[in-house]
Amino acid sequence: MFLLFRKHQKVISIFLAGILLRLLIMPFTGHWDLTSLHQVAQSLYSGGTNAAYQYYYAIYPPLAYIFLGFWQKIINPFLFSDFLSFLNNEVFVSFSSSHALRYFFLLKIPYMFFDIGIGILLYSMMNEQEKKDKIFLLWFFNPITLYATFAWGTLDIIPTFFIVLSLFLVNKNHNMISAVMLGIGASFKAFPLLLLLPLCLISMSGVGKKKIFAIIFGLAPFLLILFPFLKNSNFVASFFSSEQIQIIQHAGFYIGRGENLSLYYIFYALLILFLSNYKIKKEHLSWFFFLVLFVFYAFSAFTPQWFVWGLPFFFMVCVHSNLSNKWLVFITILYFSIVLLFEVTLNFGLFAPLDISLLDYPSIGDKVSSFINTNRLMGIIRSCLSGIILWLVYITKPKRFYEDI
Amino acid sequence: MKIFSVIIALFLTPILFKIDIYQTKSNDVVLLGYGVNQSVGQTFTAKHNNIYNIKILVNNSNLEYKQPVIFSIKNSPSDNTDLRQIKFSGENIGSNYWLPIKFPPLPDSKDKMYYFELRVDPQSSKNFEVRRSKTDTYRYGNAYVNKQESNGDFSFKVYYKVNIIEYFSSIFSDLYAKITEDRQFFMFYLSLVTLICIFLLYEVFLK
Repeated sequence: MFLLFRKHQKVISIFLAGILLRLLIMPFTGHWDLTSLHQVAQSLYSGGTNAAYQYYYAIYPPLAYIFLGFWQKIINPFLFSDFLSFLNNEVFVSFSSSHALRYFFLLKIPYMFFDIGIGILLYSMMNEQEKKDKIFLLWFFNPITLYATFAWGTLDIIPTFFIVLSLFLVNKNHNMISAVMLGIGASFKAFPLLLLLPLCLISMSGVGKKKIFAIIFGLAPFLLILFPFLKNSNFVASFFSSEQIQIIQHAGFYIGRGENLSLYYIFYALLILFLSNYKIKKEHLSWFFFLVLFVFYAFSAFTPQWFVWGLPFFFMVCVHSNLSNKWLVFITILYFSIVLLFEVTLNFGLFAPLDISLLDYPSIGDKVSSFINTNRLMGIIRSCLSGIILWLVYITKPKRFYEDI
Repeated sequence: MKIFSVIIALFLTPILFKIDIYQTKSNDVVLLGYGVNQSVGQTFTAKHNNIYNIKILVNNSNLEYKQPVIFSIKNSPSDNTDLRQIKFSGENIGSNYWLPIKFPPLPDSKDKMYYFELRVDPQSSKNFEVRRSKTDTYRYGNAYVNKQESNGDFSFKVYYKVNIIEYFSSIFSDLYAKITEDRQFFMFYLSLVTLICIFLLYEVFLK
């Protein structure tokens, strides 16, 4: 027992240090994205769908708000009467609340469960102890998750957990359930649906009927959650016209008659055709998840929180391919360069619960705009990142990963 | 090399400021300009020295208003002497915009009451909105329209300059105030963090 404990001592230290980092960030940082998520969730429970989806920022599938509203019920004994005004008031007022630090801490706690869950799943999916330790370290100490999830407070960690769980279940040969997990993840944010076809085509190679059933099982949770809300016009208008859904189409080229070809859709179509015509070993499914999500980043003006989706698979690829740490450093530097060029509320302004004035400081983008057009600079940085991503896709491509069906 | 030094200097020497007071509720408007009102103002009591910037929530629909606007700070609405006066073009006024008006700092502003005012030429064409709260949300001052006391309070924020030591000491004093206001939470939080630190130190030094 003692030897087992000693063997996992390193992992326990990493885990505790990772938790400590998260705890140190959680109460002292915040963004109105987190309060607005909970504002919509609160409206859903108190006023129904119409009330919730009246807000222009209510753009996520209903399960996201149902879950967050449920969490509000759980923490209710620790909330004060000013909680509603904390959610509904203008930022300057709500962040100055005497209970703001408590509320930011409490509202981020559920993310920890999913974050720890991802760490455990990644750990268990590695075969060798050295790889287990490395991926555990990468997950618990990566600054991108600390920033996007525990400082900013976005909920992308939740659907990401379900994707990682789906991969874990494929490894355990529970293919149908793995598809369902993607559907559940999509009920928080729609992007896991991008992985449904690759999952079905790879995990169930050569068995036509099973693939179709898996796709149906994968879509079922998403459609079942969505269906009762489809008759609500506020929901339909808000969800389907979200800019986030449309952003994927912007990278492309004009072909006339007001139409554009989307680079990502072309890539995705080619990928699906490839997966339909060749048999891929299941063990490479994580690389394909990395491929689908990171090429998405390469071809879109992704908002920083979306990067969390692909991180677990990027780390798996790094560990499996024994990728040099320099690539992790490059990706992180370019990512945070993009973050710094965003408005101040997404970088230094995240510490507004400590000093509300930070929201009124000029952003680095504003300062830099005296020398160079900020959009142009952002484009250059994104182009560098895209180049690195595409290079990483190439160099980490598994050898002899396919064969004829 | 020169550009590099400028860039470094730009980032290493930020102007540090903090918010002094604010009233951000805005569910009403007052029109300023042609055919409506000539001046709007607000009294306030500064909490700190060196106030140097006031932001006022305005709305210049379709950016129509382009004439000059005069901003001034006085000791009271009836005072004829401007402590500070800034004249700027209406082209600086955006839509739903926190209009920043910077002026040389008032060094001994702490606990003093001031009156700021926006006024326009009555002959100017077009007008723009100055937003305010219908109800009296700011207890230490009043709204004024055409130098007459009016309902509610205008939406405004006042900033004061600090040096780096003052900045961080105010952060710590604000944090201390928050801790004392929510002692229960911070006792729990510090206990949790301490417990994790103890376990971590135990793990790290376990041989």
